[in-house]
Amino acid sequence: MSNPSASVGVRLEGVTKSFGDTAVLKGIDLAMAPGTLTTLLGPSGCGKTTILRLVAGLEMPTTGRILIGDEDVSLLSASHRDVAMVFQSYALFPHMTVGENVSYGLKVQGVGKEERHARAEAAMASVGLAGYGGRYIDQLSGGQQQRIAVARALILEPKVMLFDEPLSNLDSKLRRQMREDIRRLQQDTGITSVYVTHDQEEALSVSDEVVVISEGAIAQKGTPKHLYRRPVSPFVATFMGDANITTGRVRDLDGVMVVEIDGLRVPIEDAEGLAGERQVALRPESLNLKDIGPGLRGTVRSHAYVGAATEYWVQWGDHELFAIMPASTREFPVGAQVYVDIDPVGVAVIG
Amino acid sequence: MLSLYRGYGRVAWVALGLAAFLLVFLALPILKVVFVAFQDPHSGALTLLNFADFFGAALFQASFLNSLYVSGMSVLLATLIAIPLAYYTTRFNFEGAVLIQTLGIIPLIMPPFVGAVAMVLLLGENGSVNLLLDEHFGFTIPFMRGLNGVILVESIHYFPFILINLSAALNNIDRAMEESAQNLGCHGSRLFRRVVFPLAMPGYVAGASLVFIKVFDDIGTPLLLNINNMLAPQAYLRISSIGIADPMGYVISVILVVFSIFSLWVSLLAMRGKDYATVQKGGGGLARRDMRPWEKVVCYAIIIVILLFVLSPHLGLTLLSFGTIWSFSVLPDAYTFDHYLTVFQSAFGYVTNTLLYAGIAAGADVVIGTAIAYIVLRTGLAGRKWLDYIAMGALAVPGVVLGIGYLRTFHDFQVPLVDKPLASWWVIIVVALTIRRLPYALRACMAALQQVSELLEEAAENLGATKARSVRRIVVPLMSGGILAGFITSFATASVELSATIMLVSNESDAPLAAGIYEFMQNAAGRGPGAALGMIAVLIVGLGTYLSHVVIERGKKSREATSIVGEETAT
Ligand SMILES: Nc1ncnc2c1ncn2[C@@H]1O[C@H](COP(=O)(O)OP(=O)(O)O)[C@@H](O)[C@H]1O
Ligand SMILES: [Mg+2]
Repeated sequence: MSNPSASVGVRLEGVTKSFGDTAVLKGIDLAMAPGTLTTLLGPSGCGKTTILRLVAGLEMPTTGRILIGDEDVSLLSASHRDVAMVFQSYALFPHMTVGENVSYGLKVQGVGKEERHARAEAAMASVGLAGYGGRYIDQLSGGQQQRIAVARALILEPKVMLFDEPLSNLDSKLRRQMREDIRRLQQDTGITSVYVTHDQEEALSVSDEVVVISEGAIAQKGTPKHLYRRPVSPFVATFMGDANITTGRVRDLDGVMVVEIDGLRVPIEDAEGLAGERQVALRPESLNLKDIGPGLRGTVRSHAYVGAATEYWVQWGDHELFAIMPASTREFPVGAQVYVDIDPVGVAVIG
Repeated sequence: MLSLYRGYGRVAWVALGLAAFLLVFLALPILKVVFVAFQDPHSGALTLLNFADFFGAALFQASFLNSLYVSGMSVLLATLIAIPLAYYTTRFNFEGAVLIQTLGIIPLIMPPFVGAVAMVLLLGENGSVNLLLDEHFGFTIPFMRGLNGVILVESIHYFPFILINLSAALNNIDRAMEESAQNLGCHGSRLFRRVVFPLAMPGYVAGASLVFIKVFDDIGTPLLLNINNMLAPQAYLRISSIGIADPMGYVISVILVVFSIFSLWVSLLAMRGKDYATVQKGGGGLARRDMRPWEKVVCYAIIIVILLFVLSPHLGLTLLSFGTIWSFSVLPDAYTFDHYLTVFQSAFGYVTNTLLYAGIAAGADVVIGTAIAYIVLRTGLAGRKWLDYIAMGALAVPGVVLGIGYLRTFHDFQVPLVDKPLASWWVIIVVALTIRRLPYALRACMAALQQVSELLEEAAENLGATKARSVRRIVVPLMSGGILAGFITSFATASVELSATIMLVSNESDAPLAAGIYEFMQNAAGRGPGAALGMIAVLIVGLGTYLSHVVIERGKKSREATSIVGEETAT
């Protein structure tokens, strides 16, 4: 496996892509540090796959440059880039065995039969499928096909690995396990990786850095924690998890930064330079319903049991607040007057 | 521009080569034919005089009307054969469905002209059936007299086209649609008139216009039945007896092309509206019911009568090929292998020529078909769709017309080294076969390529394979089933093609099977060996049909298994 210290970064500089008259990417600037896993997160159709295809050389940018390490690869064809892609639908060759699929890239490079065989066995073992080489693709389950697609990409020890929603065709249990496996493989090999998903939970759990994309442009990038705590827009705030968007006033109260929402003061961290009227995202898990203040005064409109928690919709002025309370807490009937208290960890000032 | 052509360098050259081939061997000869039809043979000036001459001559008027009459009646008779068969298979739970499906395939494996002479011996004025009728009942039926013979032979051969289209259309009618009509008080024959008939119409029209034009263009069947006063045979006879300067052959060619284009247009028009009939897949089909006993009797009686007619060319040909003398008698006087021996000893050149010509043509067809399919579906080359359009344009060109066009265009082009005009070199026959079969091979290749996800090609490139390598090692192997089916079909049909080749055979030793059969059948003594050659032709086509069926079925199965590698979803 390759040596993490040999990892190279990937840079996109002012990359745009149009198909005919449709501008799909509107100026992407991105730098991915060597050996990291960057997630592209965004709704369906925002251009995530297009970015991967540009890095792989399956599309050419309309304008802008793509660099791998220090090399400008913008005009290099797919077959000459040291980039391996795991396709969303796996794109395994149905007329070849699993072993032939995995070793295909080596065969193209002219690697001898014995070495091919040995390295294919190692690659299959690394994804937990040792000994499957003789089977055909249609004899594998979806999860196994997914692993073989990863092994086929990994065997070339590429400079860059691209994963296009690799888990989207798997059931939720398998998904959790596979994402751990991919993260582990990535960290073991130190291959700079770009991972596409539209599932924020997946993004937050595997990435060093998350890039939120909206309509062909970068909405925000940063560590998962940073995006969660400091979204720059309501779009990012809601994409990183459920959120109630409202307004509040950020101010310095004797050296402590607080946000004041309808008179309720909540202390916040890292809020230098944010003073003034701001949009605020309130995570539903951090809203607590109580009989007595302090809190935002409201009326329970409806509630629903969802196993371990109870979900409430509370009318507060002309807003409706969505709150999630542990099932172990006491219940509030519809129509009850409540105070909604806010846990500071679930408050994100937008901007 | 850079991005448009990047990576297409070599592909662009291939596309140009293909375009040049199609222009020289398809567009140019046809334009030449049309041009000559409007040209004064002496002064070379443009004129309508040739057409005036044509419509002024009694022979051509008669030929024109005869061709229309024969084509129209063939469609009618083919329809009368197809309707009960389609009706029984789609409306009833009928155990004879397999029999009907077989009925729909048997005729296709024998070119109509091959069985024509044998049909005369069975059903003609002095044929077996009429001899028996005359002896026992004192009357005869003029099955084969004059134009009747052509109509009978053609409709027996071509009714499957109508049967297939009609059954498909009836099967596509949603049961819910029929039920809702019944719900609204529509029953029985009224239901058929108001609901079933209009919905089945597009499929029927498409099949019928195809049959019309096939009959209109056919030259082998009338010629073998000694019917000369029809259009397509006249075109051949004028050119072959008077010469390539006579304008009448060209005028007839223009008329044939116009009718071809017209009927293609009609069938396209009919099929464009067909989607509204297919409301839902799978749940379709009319409500079926069991037959009452007397219905079963009627049904089997009809099917057996049709079966006897459909099998008569095969039966007649078999008897003819094994019979010693068969004339004015119900059956041949005695049986022998002599005709086959004759064929193997002195006429096997026809067979080897055919295997060679059809083999090369079918090979060229799938190579060209794959290349065009790839260029059209997988590259961004400007104007690529035109390759498809021009290649498919061959559908509108009757064989005789292509043959005449080649004669006229290439008769004074000397092939270097061979020292012969291109028009009389055997290679031109192969080229004609290639062009004639190309539309079918192209459709097969297009369908095959559409089954191969573009992502597989991209995955190979992503793993370091060059474009050429991923096409060779990934795309083509995955297309192989469809390509093979296309090859076999092209091969089988090219091996019995007569209309274009008959114009282009310039000497005996270059003649393929169909031309050989035609030669033999010209005189009574040659009928036995001609029939033996015919049997070989039937064998080749039958085997080809069976093989391509097997290949396609196998492809379907393996496709189901690998359908998991579907297209990328939109997310
Ligand atoms: N080859 C193409 N031609 C035209 N439009 C395309 C093409 N590829 C992608 N698009 C369009 O670009 C947009 C972004 O697509 P994609 O990158 O696949 O989105 P995502 O992967 O984020 O769902 C979509 O609107 C899609 O329809
Ligand atoms: Mg995508």
